[in-house]
Amino acid sequence: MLERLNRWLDVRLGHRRWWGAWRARTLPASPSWWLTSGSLVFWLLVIEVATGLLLMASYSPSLATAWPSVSYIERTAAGSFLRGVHYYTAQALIVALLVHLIRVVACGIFRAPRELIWVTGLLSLPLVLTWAMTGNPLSGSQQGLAQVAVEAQIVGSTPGVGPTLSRLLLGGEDVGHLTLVRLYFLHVAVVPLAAAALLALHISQVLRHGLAPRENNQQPSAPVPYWPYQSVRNMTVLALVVGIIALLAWRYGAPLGAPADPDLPHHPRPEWYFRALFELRRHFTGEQELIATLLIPTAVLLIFLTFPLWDGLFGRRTASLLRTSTLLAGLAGWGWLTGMSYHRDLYDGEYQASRKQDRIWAERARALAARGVPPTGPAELLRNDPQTQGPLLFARHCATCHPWLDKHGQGLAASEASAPNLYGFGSRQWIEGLLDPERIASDHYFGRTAFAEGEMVSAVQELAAGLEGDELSARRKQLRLAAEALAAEARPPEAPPEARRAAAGRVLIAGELGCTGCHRFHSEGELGTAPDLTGYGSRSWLVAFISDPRHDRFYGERNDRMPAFAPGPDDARNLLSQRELALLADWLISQQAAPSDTPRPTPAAAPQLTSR
Amino acid sequence: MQQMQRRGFLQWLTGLLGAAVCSVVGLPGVKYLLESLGRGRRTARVVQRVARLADLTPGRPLLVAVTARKQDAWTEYAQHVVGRVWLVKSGGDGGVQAFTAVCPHLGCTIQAGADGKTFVCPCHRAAFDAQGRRLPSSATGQENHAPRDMDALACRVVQDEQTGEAWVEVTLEQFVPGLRHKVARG
Ligand code: FES
Repeated sequence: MLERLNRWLDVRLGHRRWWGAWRARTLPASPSWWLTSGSLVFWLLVIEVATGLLLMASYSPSLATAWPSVSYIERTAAGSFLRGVHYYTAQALIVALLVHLIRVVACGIFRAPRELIWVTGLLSLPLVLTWAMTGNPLSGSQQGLAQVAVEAQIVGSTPGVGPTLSRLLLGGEDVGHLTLVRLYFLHVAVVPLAAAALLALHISQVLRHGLAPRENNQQPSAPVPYWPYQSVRNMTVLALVVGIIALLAWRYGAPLGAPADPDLPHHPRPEWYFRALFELRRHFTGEQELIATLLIPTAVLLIFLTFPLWDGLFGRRTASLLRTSTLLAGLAGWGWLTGMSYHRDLYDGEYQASRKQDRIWAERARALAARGVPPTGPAELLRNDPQTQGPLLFARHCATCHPWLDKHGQGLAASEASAPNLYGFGSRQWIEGLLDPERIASDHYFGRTAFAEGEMVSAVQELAAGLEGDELSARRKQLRLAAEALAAEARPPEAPPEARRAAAGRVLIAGELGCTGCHRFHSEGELGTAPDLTGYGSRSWLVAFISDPRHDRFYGERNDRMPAFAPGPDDARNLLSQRELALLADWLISQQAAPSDTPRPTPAAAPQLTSR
Repeated sequence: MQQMQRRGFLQWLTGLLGAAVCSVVGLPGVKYLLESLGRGRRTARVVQRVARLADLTPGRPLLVAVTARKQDAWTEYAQHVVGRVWLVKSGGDGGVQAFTAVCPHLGCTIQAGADGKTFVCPCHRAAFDAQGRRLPSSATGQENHAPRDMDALACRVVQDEQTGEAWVEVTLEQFVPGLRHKVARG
C-alpha cells in the first residue's frame, strides 16, 4: 500500500532519483570527524531559523514594545528556553563556521574548480556576524541599543556613503522606533534571504564538485558511501553541540538587560565576537580609526579570499605554508585582541561596578514588568521605581552633604560629608541614635552641622546630665520609648506591645521629656521654633521637608545649609520635580522598614542626571 | 530573415515588459526606503533654561537634560529629553560654561570622572579636564580617542521675570562626531 503510494508519488515528483543520488554520495577517503563541520553549520542554521520563527510569533519591534514583548516571552519556561536556544545557537554557529573555514583551508578545498565553494563559505562569515549584530539589539535592552547607537556612528564615519547608510539603518538621525523595525527587517528578512542564496550556491557547488580529495592520498580502493558512515558522525557532533546549547539555555537562558533608558549610566561593550575590533580601535585615533574599522577587516577578508590564487603565485608548497601561517596568525591576532579587551575590563573597577549595577536594574525591571508594562514604554518601569530612582536622586542631590552608609560603611558616601547620615532615617534605630545623649553630637547626626552646639543637642544631653545608675537607665528607656513613638508617626506599629510602647512614648514627648517645649507634636507645642514632629518621617512630612526646610513648619530662619528643593508649585523652577520628590521620599521610607536588606547602590553607579 | 527579426523584436519586447513590471515595485521600493533619510530630523536647536545659577557649585559639573517636543516615527512626545548638557561653574568669576554630553568620538554620553570634577566617556575612555579640554594620553595612561575637545554650547545667564533669580540658559545643538573640528549637524 505504502509502496504503491510511494510509486505514484515518484512518477509525479521523481523524488526517488534525488534521494538515490543523495544516498549514493561517496567519500573521497574514509569517514572523518573533521568532515562534520559543514553539516554542523547547516543544522545550526536550521535551528536558528526554526527558533527565530517561533519567537516571531510573540515579538513586536518598536521602542515601546520590544523589551516588553521579550520579557513576556521570558516569563514562560518554554519561551525562555527557546530564546536561550536561539541565543546560544547563534554563538555556536559563529564558532562552527570558524572551525569549518579552518578545516576547508587545511584540506585545500579552494583549488580549481572549487574556488566558489571557498568564496561563498568565507563570505558567509561577515554575513552571519551581521545577522547576529542585527539580532542583539532587538531585545530593546540598554546594552543592545547602546551597541546600535555606537555601531551606527561607526558606519556613519565611513567617508561617502557612511552617513546615508547610518540614517537608513537607524531609520532617522538617532535611535528610535524605526531603528528596531529596520534591524528586525534586516534580521528576519534581508540577511536570511542573502544567507539562503549564499548557502544554496555553496551547497550546490559542493554537490557538483564533490568533496575534495585529500592531498597526497591515493583514492581508496572501494569508495565509502557517505550515508550512513559519515552521516552518523555528523549527527553525533550535532547532538553533542545541541546538548550543550540546551543545557546553557535551560540553566542560564539568554540575558535580558534593563530596558534602554539614556538616563541610566551605562558602559556599552560589543559582543565577544566583536571585542577584537573594539580593542583594535583603541590603537587608532581620529581619522585613522577608519583603518581599524574598515581597512584592516576588509584587507583581512580580501587576503583570505585570494587563497585560491596563491598556488599559482608562490607554487603549491610555499602557498600551502603561507596559507597555514596566515590563518594561524589571523586567529592568534584575533584571540590576542579579544583577550586584551576582556583583561582590561576585568581590572577596570568602574566598569565592573557598572556591570553589577546593570544586573541589579535588569532584575528589578523584570520583576516590575511581571505586573505589566505601561503603554508609554518599558523605560517607565525604572523611571517610576523608588527603589531604582531613590539612590540615584540621593546621590545626585543629597549625597554632597548627607552620607547614606550602613554600619559596614557600605552605601553612598558623601563627597563633603557635613550633615547627618540618613541611612535608615526615620526608623526606630535611627531616632534612638538621635536621642542618645552620647551620639547626637557625633558626626553621624548633628556633629558637622550648625546644630552641633544648638538647642536640640544641649536639650538631649541635659536630659542625661548628672544622672547615674538606675536613674540614667530609666531616662534612656524613656528616650527609647520616645524614639518608638516618633518612628510610629511614619509607620503605625502592628503588634500591640509596640503600639503600647509608642503610646507611652507619645505621653513622654509631650510631658516629661519636654520635647514640645520647642517642637510641635499633634495638638501640643508651637510651630516656628523647631521642626514639626507630627507625622515625623512619613511621606508627606518628608516631601514637605525636602521641598522647603526653611518653612516655618521646620527649621525656619535657623535652617543650616540645606537647600529648598521645591519651594514653589512650578516644577520647571524647582530643583526637584514633584515626581522626583515622591520617588525620593518613597525610597527613604522603604529604608525605614528594613534598612539592612535592600540592594546597596554602588557609588560608581551614582549618576549625575536630572531632568527638568 | 524576417523570422529572425521578429524573434529579436519579441525578445526585446518581453524584456521591456518585464522591466516595466519590475519598476512598478522597484522604483517606489527604493524611494520608500530612502524616505527615511529625510524623516525624523532632529529639532535643530533648542534654547532652554536648564538650572538656577544658585544650584551650581564651582568645581562640580552638573548634568542637566534639555527637553522638547519630539517626533519619533509615528509617536509624538510632548516632552522628551532631546539632549544632555554639562554645566560648569568656574570658581573665579562665577561664569558658566555648557558642554553637550555627546562624546565627540562616537557619541556616547560623557560622564563625570571619579573625582567628580573632570569628565570621562565610558565607551572608549576619552578623558577631558574640568574645562572640557582633551586630557593628553600621558595624563591618563590611555590613548585619548576624542578627536576634539568637548563641544561647548552657547549659554548665558538670564534673570527670571517673576522671581528675579538668575538662570542658566543654553542653546542645544548637535555636532558631527568623529571630526577634528566642530561641525553642526543639520
Ligand atoms: S564614544 Fe566617547 S570615547 Fe568613544
